[in-house]
Amino acid sequence: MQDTVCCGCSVVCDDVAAKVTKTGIQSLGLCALGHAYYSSIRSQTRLKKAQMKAKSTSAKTIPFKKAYEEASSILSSSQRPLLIGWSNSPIEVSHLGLKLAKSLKGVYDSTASFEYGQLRQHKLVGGETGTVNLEDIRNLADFIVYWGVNPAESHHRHASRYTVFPTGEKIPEGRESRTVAVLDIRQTESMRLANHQLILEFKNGDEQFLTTLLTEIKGTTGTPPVKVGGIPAIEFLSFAKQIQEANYIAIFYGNGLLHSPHASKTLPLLSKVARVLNKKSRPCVTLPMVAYCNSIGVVTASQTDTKIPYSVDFNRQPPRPYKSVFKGLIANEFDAALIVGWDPLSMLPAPIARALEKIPLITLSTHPSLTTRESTVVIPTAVTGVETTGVVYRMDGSAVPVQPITKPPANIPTEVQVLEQLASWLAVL
Amino acid sequence: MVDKKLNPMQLYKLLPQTNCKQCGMTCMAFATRLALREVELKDCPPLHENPQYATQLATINELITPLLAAEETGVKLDDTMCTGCGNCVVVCPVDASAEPDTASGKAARSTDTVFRVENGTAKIINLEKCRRFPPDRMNCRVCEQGCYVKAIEIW
Ligand code: SF4
Ligand code: SF4
Ligand code: SF4
Ligand code: SF4
Repeated sequence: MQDTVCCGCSVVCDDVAAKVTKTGIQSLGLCALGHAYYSSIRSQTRLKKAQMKAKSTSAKTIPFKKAYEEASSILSSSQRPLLIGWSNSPIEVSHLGLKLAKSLKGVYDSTASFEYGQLRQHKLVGGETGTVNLEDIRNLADFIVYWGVNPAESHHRHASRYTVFPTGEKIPEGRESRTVAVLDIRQTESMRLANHQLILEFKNGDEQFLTTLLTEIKGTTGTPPVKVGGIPAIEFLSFAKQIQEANYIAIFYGNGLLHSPHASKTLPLLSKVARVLNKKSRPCVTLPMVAYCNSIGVVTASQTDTKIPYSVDFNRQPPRPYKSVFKGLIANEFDAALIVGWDPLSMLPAPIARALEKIPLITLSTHPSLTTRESTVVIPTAVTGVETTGVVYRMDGSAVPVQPITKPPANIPTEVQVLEQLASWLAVL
Repeated sequence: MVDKKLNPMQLYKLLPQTNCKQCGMTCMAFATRLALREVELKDCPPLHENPQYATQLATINELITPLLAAEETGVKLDDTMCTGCGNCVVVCPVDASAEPDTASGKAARSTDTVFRVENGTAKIINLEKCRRFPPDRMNCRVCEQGCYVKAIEIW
C-alpha cells in the first residue's frame, strides 16, 4: 500500500494509505467518505468520454478534440462568461481558471463566496491573527466548540485527528484533558462526545446565547435570565465559566451558524467573543468547517492573483469584485458558464439553479451529475489527489501537496490539461 | 458522556465529592482511575467509614463487582454502522501502547492494535489484546463511549 493524502473533504488526511487492486481499492485509515472517494475512480458510472448535447436532446459521445473546439467556441463567443467551481481541485487549477477568466473578460467565482468568503470581514477565519493550524489546536486546545456543525456526519476524522481525542503537547490525556461543547438546534451524534451538549432554540437561540456570553465574558454583571437561547441558565453559566478558564479555545462553526437567518448578527458577535477572550489572554481561534479539500485554496489563489478573495470581475482592468453571482444569474447577466469540479445544479437554491440551467454549460467532471446532464459540453477529468498531482489548502489554510497513486483510465485528462487545451484553442480562435 | 453504562462520571457522582485527598488525589481523578481499575474502592476511606455514604457504597460496589469476576466479556463492532471516524483507534489505550502515533490522532497502520480502519470502516484486528480480557480484566469502555454512532457494543 502507498502513502497518500485524501482529498475527500477539507480535513485532507495525510496519514493514510491506499492501493488500487484488480477488484477495487484497499485503504488504511481512510474514513468511509474517503474510501468512497478513492473507490469512485473505479465506479461503473465514471465519465470516460467527452459528451455534447443540444438543449433538451440526449447527449452524444464526441472525441476530446471536438469537445475542446466546441467549448472554446462557446466561451469565445460569450459576452459574459461565468467560470465557477474550483474547490475540489488543486490550487494550480484555480490559477489557470483565473488566467482564463482574465483573457475571456469573464467572472471568476468559487464556492467560497457562499461557503465562507464573507467571513474574512469578520476576522472569523483564524481569529485575530488570521492564521490557525490544526496541529496547534491538537497540541494546545483544551476547550473545543462545534457550533452548527456535526462533524460526525460531515468531517468524520476531524475530532479523532485534531480536536477531541488526540493527545498533544499540553494535552497529556487526550479527551480527558479537553472540554468539548457542541451547540446545535437539535440533538446530533457529535453531542455524544461533548461535556456541554447545548441545544439552542431554533428561533434565535444562537444570537441570544452569543449576546449573553459576550456580556458574561466582558464581566458586565446582570441578572441572568432563566434560559439563554433555550438553554437553562445553569448550563449556560457552566459553559461561560469554563470557556473563560481555558488555556486555548478553538471554535469550529458550520452551516448552522453561517446560513442561519441571523448570521448578520451572530457572526460579528462570535467574532467579538473571540476578540474579548484573546484580549483576556485566552487564545481563541475560530474556523469555518468548509466542505471541500481546497475550499481555502480557491481564496488563496484569487487573493494572490487579483487581491480579491472571490467573485472577481475581469470585465475591466484592473479586475474588481463582482457584486454577487447569485444575483447576476437571476438577472440573466451571464450567457455561458464553465464549471470545474462541482455540481451547482444539485447544490444551489432552485431559482438560481434554474437560471444557470438556461445558459450553455461546459462542465469538467469525474462522474455524472445533475449538472453534467444539463451541460452542452461535458469533459471527463481525473480525480483530484488520487490520479493527479497538485497542492490543496486544507481547512486551516495549510498547503498540502498531493500525489497520484494511479493513472486515470482511458486517457482521461486532468483539469490542468483541459484548461491548458482550452486556453490554446481560445488563442487560435 | 451520555452513556448510561459505567463511566467515571457515574462513579464520581457516587463518591463523597469532598476532595479530601485521603486517596492521594481528587474525587474525579479517583473516579477516573477506579473506572480504569487502577485503584481500588477501599482506597477511599470516607466512603467506608462514614455511614452517610452507605447507600452510595453499596451502589458503587454493585457497579464494579461484576467486572472483577468478569469471565465473559466482549467487544463487538458493527461495521455497517461505522463511518471510519477513527475515534476508537485513537482512544483505545492498547492501541496507544501498540502504535503510539494513534494516541496523537494518527491512523493505525500496523497490525498490532485492537482497532484499525480498513477500507473505510473500523475492524477489530486483535480482540484478545483488549484490556477487558485476562490478565487485565479492566472495565474499560472508552472505545464504546467514543463512538459517534454506537457501532461498538461491550458486554
Ligand atoms: S476525514 Fe476527510 S480527508 Fe480524512 S479520510 Fe475522511 S474524507 Fe478523507
Ligand atoms: S478519599 Fe474518597 S472522598 Fe477523599 S478525595 Fe479520594 S475519593 Fe474523594
Ligand atoms: S474496551 Fe478494550 S478495545 Fe475498547 S478501548 Fe478499552 S481496551 Fe480498547
Ligand atoms: S468509533 Fe465507531 S464509527 Fe468511529 S471508527 Fe470506531 S467503530 Fe467506527
